[in-house]
Amino acid sequence: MFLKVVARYGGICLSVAATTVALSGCGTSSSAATPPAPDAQSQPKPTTRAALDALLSAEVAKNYAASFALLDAAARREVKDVGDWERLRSATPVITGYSVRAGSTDDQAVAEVTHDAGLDPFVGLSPAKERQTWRAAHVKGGWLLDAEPQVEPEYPSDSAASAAAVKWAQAVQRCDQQSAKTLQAVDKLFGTADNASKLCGSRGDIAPDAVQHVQDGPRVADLAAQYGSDTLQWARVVPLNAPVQFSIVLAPIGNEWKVVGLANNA
Amino acid sequence: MKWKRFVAAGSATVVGFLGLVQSPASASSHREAPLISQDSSADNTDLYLFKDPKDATKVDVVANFIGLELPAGGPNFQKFSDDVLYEIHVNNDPNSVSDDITYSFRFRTVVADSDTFLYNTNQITAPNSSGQNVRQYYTVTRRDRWGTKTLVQDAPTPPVNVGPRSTPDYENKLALPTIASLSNGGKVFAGQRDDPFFADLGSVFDLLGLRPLNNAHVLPKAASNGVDGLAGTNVHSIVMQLPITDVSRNGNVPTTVDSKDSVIGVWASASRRNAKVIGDIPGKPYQVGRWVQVSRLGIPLVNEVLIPLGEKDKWNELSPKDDQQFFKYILDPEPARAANALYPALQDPPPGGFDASNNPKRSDIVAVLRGAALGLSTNNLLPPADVLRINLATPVSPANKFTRFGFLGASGNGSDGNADGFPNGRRLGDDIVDTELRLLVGGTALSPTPSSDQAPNTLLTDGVDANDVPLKTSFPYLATPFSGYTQTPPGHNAR
Repeated sequence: MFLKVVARYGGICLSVAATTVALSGCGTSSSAATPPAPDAQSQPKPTTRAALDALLSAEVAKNYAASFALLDAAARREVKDVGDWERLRSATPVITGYSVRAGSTDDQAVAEVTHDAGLDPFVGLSPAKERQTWRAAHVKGGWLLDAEPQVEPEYPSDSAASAAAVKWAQAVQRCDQQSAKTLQAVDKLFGTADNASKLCGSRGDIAPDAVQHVQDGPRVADLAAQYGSDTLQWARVVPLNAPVQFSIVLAPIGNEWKVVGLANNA
Repeated sequence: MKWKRFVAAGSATVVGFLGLVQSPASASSHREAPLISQDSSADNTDLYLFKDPKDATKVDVVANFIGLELPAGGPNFQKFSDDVLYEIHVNNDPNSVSDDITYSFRFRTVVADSDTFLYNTNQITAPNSSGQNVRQYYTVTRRDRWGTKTLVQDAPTPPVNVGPRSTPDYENKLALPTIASLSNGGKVFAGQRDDPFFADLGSVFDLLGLRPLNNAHVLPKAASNGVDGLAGTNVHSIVMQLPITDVSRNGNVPTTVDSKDSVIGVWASASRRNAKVIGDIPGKPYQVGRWVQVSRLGIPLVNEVLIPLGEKDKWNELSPKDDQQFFKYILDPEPARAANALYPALQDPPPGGFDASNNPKRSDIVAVLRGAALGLSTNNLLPPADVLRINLATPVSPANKFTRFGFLGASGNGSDGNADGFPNGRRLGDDIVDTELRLLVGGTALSPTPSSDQAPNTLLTDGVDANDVPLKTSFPYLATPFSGYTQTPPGHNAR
C-alpha cells in the first residue's frame, strides 16, 4: 500500500515557520482571456496534455532544447536559456517513464512519472513513482508550461517503516552487521544515537513506537544538508522500545523503507 | 616563429568580435568579491589546468577553495562545506561556450563523538582511524548529454595537517592514501594542501604597489623584494587527473595543434541552495530550494581586478555563457587606466573600449579570450569567453625548459616561452600576476600599440616569482599542507 503525500510546489515556494532568507520568486502562470503571443522560440501545443507529453518525451530523450521550447513566459523569466534549463532539470530525478492525462482544471496537465528509485546527494530522493501536476499558460497557438510542477511522490506505508526499523534493529542486536547493511540506504548512517552501539549483543524484545514525520524535528539537519529540504517530507523516524532506547530514521527507496540514520529519542 | 602567428591572429580577431560574443567568464581569486569574501568554504580561489607531465594521455585539473587558510585553524578546522555543490565544468564544443561535461562534488561530515570539542581524540594513524573525530567523505559524479554517472562514492578526505602529535607522517600515512581511482581511469583527491598561488598581495592591493619598482611609484618607497602574501597558507583542493579521451571533443587524444577540436575550456564553480532557514531546527540551520551559483573561476584574476565592485557578486552568480554584459570592463581594464597615474614612467598602455565601428581596441585581450595563445590560427579561433582553455595537442615542455612566463616567455614575444604555459591552460608554476600585469599595460608583443611593448611595461613584476615551497612531482602535485603546529604568526614578517 502506497501513501501519497502532497509535497511542495516546485523547489522554491517552500513555506517554513522560521526565519527565511532570500527565497526566490514563486512564479505562477495563468491563462489570459486573450492569449498573448508566445516567445519567438516557443513551440506551444494544441492542448495542455499534448504540451506535457511533448515536454516529458523531450526530457526522456535528454533533448533540453525541445523541452525548453515548451516553457511559458513566466518560466523563461526564471530560466533564461537552454543551459540554465538543463542545469535545473539535472538536479531532478531522471524520468524513466510516464503517462499523461488532462488535469482537474483547464490550465493543468498531470503525469504519472517513474524514476529509478534511489538517494544521492545531487538529486536527493528519486521516488519510484510520483504524480506531477504542471500548470499551463494559454498562448496564441496553444499551450505552454510552467518550469516546475507540483510533485506528489508515492511512498511506502508508515507501517512498512516500522517493520523495516525493527528488522534492522534485530540484525544489529544479533551483531549481524552484514545483514544490517543490506537494510540500509547508505553505508555510513547519518546522525548519532548514544546507545545504538549497545544494542549489539543485548537481550530483550524490540518493538516500534508510533512512526513520526520529521518536519519539525532536529534529527535530520545532516540529512537535509546532504539530500535537500524534501528530506523533511519523506524521512520517517521510528522510536524503539528495546533494551536500548533510540530512534531509527528511514528513507523510502522504491517500495520499501531503508535505514538512513539514527537519533536519540526526543 | 610562433609569436608572429600569435600576433597576427590577435589582430585579425578584432573584426567581428561582437558577433561572436556569447557570454562572460570568471577568474582566479581569493576573497575577490564582497559576498564570497564572507563565505570562504564556497570561495573558488584558483583554477589550474595542465597536461599531466608524466602521462601524455591525461590532463590535470585543480580547483582550490577556502583562500588564505591558516594552518592553525583549530578547534574547528576548515573543511569543504556539506551545504555546497562544487563543480568543474568542461566545454569541448568549439562553436559555443556550453557545459558539455560537469564533474560534481558533494561532501558529508561525520562526527564520531559529538560529546567532545576535539577534532581528534588521539593520534590519527590512517584516514578516518579511531583517533579522528571529525571526518569528511565525498561523492563525485560526471554528467554529460547522455546522463550522469557516479565516479566515486563516499571517498574519505584526509584530515587536516594538525601537527606532529595528531597527524604524524601526514603525507605518506594520511594524505596520499586518500587518492581515489575514478571508474573512468583517472584519479581524484580532495583535501587540504599548500596554497600554490604566489603574489605580493599586501603590496599589490596597496595602490598597485610593486616592491621591486617601489621607487617608480607616484608615492615612492625604497625598492625591495616582493613578499608572498600566501606564504605559509593552505587551501582546500579538488584535484582530478582525467583521461583526455574522457573530455576531448572527439573522445581521442588530439595530436593536431591547429584544430579547434583539440581544445577544451574549463571553469569551476560553487553553489548553495537559494534559501537558508535558521531557527527551525535549534542549532542546525539548513538550506532549501534550488542550487544558486555563488562563486566561479576560469581565467585567473578577471573578477579580482577587472570586474568592478558593483558587479562582482553578480558575476559570480553567472556562467561563462552570460558574460557579454561584462566585456565592457574586461576590454577596458581598470589596472591599465590606473597604471600611468601610479607609475608615471610607464609607456602609455593601449587604450581600451571600442572603436567607432564597435570593435574592441584591446586586440591582445581578445586574443587571449579567443584562444589565440593556444596555437590556433585565425580561422580556428574560438568564441570569446572567460574559461581556462587548453590545447590538448600541445606537448608538455621539459622541466628544465620551464619558464614562469608561460606562453609569452620573459621576452613577451613568445620566443622564449613554453607553448604549454598560461594562457594555454595554467600550470602550478605559471606566474599569472606578472604575465597579466604586462599584458594589461601592453607590455607584450600582442599589444595593439607597439609603443607600450617596451620597458618599463615589459618589466612589470610584483617580485614574487614562485611558490614558497617546492611543488610535488607526482599527483596531486600541490605541496603538503602546512601544519598548525609550525604556523608562523600571521603578519609577523610585515614589520
